Amino acid sequence: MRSRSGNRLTACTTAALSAFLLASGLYSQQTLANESVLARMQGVWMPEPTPDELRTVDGKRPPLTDEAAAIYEERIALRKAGDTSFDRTTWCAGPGMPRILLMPYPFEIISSQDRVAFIHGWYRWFRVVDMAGDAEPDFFYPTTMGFSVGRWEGDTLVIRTVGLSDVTTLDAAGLPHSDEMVLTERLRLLPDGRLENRLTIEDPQFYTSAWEARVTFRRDPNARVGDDVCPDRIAMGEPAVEEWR
Amino acid sequence: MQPSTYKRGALIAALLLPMAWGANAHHSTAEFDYTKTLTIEGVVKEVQWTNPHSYLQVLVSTDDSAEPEQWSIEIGSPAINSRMGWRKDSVKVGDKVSMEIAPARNGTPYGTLRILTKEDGSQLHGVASNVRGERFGGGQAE
Amino acid sequence: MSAYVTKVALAAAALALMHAASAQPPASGDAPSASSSRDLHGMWEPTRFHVLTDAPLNAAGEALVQRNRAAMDSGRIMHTAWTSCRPGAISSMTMPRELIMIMQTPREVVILYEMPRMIRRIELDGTHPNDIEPSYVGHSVGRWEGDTLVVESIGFNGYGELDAHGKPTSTRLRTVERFTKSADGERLDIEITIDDPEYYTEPFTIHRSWRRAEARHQHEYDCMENPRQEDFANAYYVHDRYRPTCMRVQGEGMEPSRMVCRREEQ
Repeated sequence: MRSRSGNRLTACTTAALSAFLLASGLYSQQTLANESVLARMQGVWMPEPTPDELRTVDGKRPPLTDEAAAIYEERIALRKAGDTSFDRTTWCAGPGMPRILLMPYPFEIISSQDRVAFIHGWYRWFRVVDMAGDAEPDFFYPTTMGFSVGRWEGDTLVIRTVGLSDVTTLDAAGLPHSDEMVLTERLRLLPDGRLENRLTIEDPQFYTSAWEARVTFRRDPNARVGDDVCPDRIAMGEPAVEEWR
Repeated sequence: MQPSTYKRGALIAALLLPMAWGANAHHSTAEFDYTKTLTIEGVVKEVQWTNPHSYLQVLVSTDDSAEPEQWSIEIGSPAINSRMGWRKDSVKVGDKVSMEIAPARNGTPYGTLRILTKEDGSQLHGVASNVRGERFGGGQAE
Repeated sequence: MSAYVTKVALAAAALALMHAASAQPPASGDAPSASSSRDLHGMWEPTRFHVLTDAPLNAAGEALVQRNRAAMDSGRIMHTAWTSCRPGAISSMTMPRELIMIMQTPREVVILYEMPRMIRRIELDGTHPNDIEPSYVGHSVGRWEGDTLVVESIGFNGYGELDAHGKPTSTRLRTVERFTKSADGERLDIEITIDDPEYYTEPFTIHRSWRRAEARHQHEYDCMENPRQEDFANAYYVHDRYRPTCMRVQGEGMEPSRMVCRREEQ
């Protein structure tokens, strides 16, 4: 219905609708807000470059125990000498969380009812965050992507992941972790339109305290998440995981 | 940790049937002699809880040799074994185990697990637990 | 204006009643409520171990299957797309396994498979582009016919076998899947028509069924994580493409547990 008072009618409609819905008690203001933020988080994101040696938000090396530090130093030395046999991604095995977020491949966020999925552009990996189930997920054995549950804190999507198999490394340089690691992510849209993920690692077996890292993602109109088949790429002599350029 | 709502029991029977398609017959009859059962005892050197197949590397001492022989024993895969009660840490490095296996045809120290017995007497079944009998022809390595 | 506001209030009431009827919180976009027969969202699992019994192979198809059989009878281990960790979407149709997550937005249905690990995107009311790049998963478009989701897929790359006997597919493969949810919402009945004139005399139809799974989380199948030498000794590859690339060679004298690929086998 168009008229010179069209804008006023639209505002009137919205106000009436919102007031009715809120008054009905069916939707909280927060739920509507969460859905709006989630809608804006959807689609394809491209990670922004991160260093091979992951740093904390303070720019420091993570607080490794002595045992973990020895493992890490050995891997750094091996890698310098051209030996990446500690890095399972080199034979197309899964990088797991959080490492897959640090690799130069896009991912896509898709939400549907009580789930939020991250679909990655590296070898068909995906994970599905349960927004409605038990806070402590059931699982038979740990996996590289773990078992994730999510909730909202204001405009931040908080994801807690457990059951992360110790076979992966946290970064390209080889940061170790145990099966008991707890990964917490805080995803938030930044004013400039990028998506920020603040990751907290808790793993007393290898780290003397919890520590936080930060990775950001940007929109790239050319980025597509397709069906990447790693064994075909390595068969052509390409690396399983590209370096950051 | 036992998932409370796990209802895949119906699949277990199918998976243990010999040569039911893709019933993870694994290296299948081409690889192993299912007419035989060999018993070996040793100490677990490594647990490979991996896909497509999981293995135990076991050091088996023989009387006539100073060096133990390393055996590779296929036990199944995480999806299959977890349904049979295994967890990633059900068997650990250093455990003393006794295993009934179907041995490899080529005579190498390699086989597929029927039953594993731990020092405390508890038992775990392997993917070859119920597979007996003649070769049916080769198969798909799943 | 007051008449207009009345209309709005009535519309809002209708909307509120619709959502009250739904057990679900408001979904992203306009996804249908759980009671809707067109809502396929959720965790599913095959009702049983499905086996492909028959397929109308033509002479060329039969010849390939016989070649596979001969190789296996001679004691070799057959490698297909599945065992080479690059299964085609056709495998997810003929051999569904483990837990399967279906997600649904107004624009697409997304199927997330645990085994084999695969993501299928079905564009609702979409059309196939003219210049499809052939892939393992093909290009899928879906439309509703009543309460049945009809999914048509083309653009397959010819690498994908139907079963453990290596029944072949080609780039001429076209599939139609019809997904219908049962009245009680607990089952998905799927009718799959496979049409590949390269290897089959006519299109043929198979049936699969999935039921609701109560598990909240899928596990995973990391197919390439442990490429042991035993998997590739005495191997027969249905396609050369399925040969492994030796990425983890261990030197002479290494212990067998770490030997994953012997260079001389390449």
